[in-house]
Amino acid sequence: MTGNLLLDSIISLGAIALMVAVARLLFPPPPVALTEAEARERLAFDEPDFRPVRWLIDKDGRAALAEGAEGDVALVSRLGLDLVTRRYPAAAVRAAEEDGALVVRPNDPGSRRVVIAADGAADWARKFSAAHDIR
Amino acid sequence: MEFPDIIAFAVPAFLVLVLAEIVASHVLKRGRYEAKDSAASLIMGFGSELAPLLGGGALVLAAFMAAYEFRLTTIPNAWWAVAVCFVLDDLRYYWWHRISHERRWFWASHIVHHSSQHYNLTTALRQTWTGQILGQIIFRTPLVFIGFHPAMVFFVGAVNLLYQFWIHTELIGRMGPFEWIFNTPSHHRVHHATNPKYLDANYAGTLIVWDRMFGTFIPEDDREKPRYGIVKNLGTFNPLVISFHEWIGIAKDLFKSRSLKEVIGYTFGPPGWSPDGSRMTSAMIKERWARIHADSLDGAPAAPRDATAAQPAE
Repeated sequence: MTGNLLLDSIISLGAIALMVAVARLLFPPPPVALTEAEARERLAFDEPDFRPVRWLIDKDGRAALAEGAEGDVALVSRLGLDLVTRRYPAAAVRAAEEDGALVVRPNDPGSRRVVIAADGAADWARKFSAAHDIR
Repeated sequence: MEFPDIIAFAVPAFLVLVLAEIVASHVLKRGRYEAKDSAASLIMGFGSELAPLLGGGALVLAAFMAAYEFRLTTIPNAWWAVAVCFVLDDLRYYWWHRISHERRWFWASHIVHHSSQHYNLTTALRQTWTGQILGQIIFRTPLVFIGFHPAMVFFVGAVNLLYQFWIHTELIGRMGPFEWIFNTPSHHRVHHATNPKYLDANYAGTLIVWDRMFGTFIPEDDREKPRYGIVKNLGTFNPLVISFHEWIGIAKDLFKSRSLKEVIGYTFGPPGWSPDGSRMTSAMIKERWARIHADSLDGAPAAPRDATAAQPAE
């Protein structure tokens, strides 16, 4: 490198752009929609003692929510090629129905808002609201 | 003896090797790349080079100079001293790295390096913006205090860091007898894996012998492919979230702490520690895995989750 901070930074950012562009070119992101089977498989790895009994799966495959046999809830969301899971007691889920979709707002700093557009979203929202009120 | 800034010399090599790995992964259909993940990793690496300029680097240098002023002896800048310093620094790295996994304060910085679900050369560059001060001072100053010149300590640390770059790849399989002594891609894949059987293993920098000596060595099992990342993977590629999410988590936990014990537990307990056991430490995850496996072998259904009954491992 040159020893000049500004110049070195510009060169580094250029190199980063080049590497990312080549990765994007050779590994274009496939249109991957989350399926129940895929969500089950990931949950079985991350939460092996979670037993899903009911699913709400986003029409566009962005995320899925599962109710467990013990009343707890697992959220599976897509991040690029991979999946991210979270498990909560039902009373801890912060979710509401917005425009026919269930919007889940996890409260841990590493998560983001998840939208699940699916039939039955309103029922799930009511259920979480009731569980929250009981708590 | 002059000690060159080998990281600066290595940067062009990083570029060439990453490009070579992307092309090789594409051609050989082995390994995975994802542009957004790589961008996040590379931005983290870029930021980690700039972060010490905010004052942390000067603090570390000041601590080194002060320790050198009061050194026990003066070790000459000779080749044999560099070799001894390198081995001692690698032992230092093992313990620093192990504690970075076992204590949340240090994990809050180190988690950045593990936060990708991919494992390739860009993952090697996914480095913390916040972990260069306390860890460096606590774990590296003793080498200077013994009598190694600060420039030598910086140099061997950089060599160690450089060594670890190439082991972040899925393109290289097993390496025979070399694996007995040195850290390799296979050993380090285990370290980055979240499979319960692989958790808390292979902390080595260059020499894997430290893990073999201290009982933390786990070989890669061909029947169990590593799944990379952290046990609660991040839901974003945002570098700011990657960098600070665990610190924010600590702050939120401290805000709701009700006793000194909770303050200490949330800050310096194992990652995943909580006063009621409602979260899971890696020890609890391993225990759950062993229990479910035992149940499966017995043909019985898996036991229900009872996190409150499990105690966080210390």
